[in-house]
Amino acid sequence: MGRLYWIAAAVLAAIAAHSAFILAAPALSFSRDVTALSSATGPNRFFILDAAQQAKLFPAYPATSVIGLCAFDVSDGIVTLTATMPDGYWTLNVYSRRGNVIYAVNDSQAGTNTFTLELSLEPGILDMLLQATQKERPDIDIGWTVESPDSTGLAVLLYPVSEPGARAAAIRRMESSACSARAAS
Amino acid sequence: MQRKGSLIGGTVFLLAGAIAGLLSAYIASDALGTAPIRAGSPWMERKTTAESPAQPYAVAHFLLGGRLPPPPTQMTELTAALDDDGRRLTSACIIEMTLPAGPRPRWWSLGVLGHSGSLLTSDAAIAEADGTIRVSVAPTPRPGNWIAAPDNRGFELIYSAAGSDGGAGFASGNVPLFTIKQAGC
Repeated sequence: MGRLYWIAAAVLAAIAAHSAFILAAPALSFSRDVTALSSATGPNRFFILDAAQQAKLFPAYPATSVIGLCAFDVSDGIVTLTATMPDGYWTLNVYSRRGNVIYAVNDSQAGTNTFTLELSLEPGILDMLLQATQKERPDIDIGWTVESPDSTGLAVLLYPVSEPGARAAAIRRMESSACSARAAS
Repeated sequence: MQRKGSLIGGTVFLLAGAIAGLLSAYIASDALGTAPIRAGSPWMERKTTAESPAQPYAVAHFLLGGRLPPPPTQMTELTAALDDDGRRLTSACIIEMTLPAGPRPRWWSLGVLGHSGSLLTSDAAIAEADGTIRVSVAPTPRPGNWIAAPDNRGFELIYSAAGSDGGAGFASGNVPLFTIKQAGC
């Protein structure tokens, strides 16, 4: 009887460890990577990823590609990403802290190479109920607005470049992009 | 005394359970959530969409490997460790790949996973008169489109297809695929 009890406990421990690993380890690994990448600039700042770093993160893109990042933190208010992209195929992908894609758009869908994206924290159930009751909930699903389920995450601007000579011009264009925090009103 | 022995034994059971849970999670993050994109195809797709029951494992696979998951609405990322006849890919053979004429992704890249510098992209690939694209994967340079294979070992191909002309990515089942044949072993 005693042994059966411990076997059941061991199975429960296995299930708990399995679930904890799958739910927590990838997010921790991602957070650590994002912190390392943005260590020089800090959160809510736009920067172009070093060519050596991007080969590991984005092996499907040529090493000459230009990748711009903003490690955002919306815990204190809205974060605005203003992007200026070169002509041609590009994508903007926004990842939550858990590494889930919460927004993705490409040049063809955007119809413009210059845009502003507002990132904010998704309201909790209580906030939504309150806003719905008070009829104060703004129409936030239109346009370039993203609500993140987590307070932190990563916005990635990807511009694939195959020709090494074209990289410098693409960097010059994308360097005028910016990411900044705006305190909640 | 018997109670003490039972406690020690129980702790061992719990530890063994936790270790088994962690190990199974690590293995599952690699094995679950991946399936052939079409029946009989060597190209494997890892489903990171929220609808996939194995989504946490598929996302974990990318994040634990220090990579970002490709956005499912924009990019289809496929890997192949076997050729069309089910044989493991190895640099002891020349791999001949063909993308038949027809609809194309707006942008694509083809390379050897984990082998930096060996990547061919749609804007650099040379097509034949009828639109067919032929690519050789071998350790030494080959005429035409060539991707460098690592020396003396098995390897995995990575193929990323992004954005049809309509804007968003192909529905994953419709992505035009390269055939994979081994020759000159």
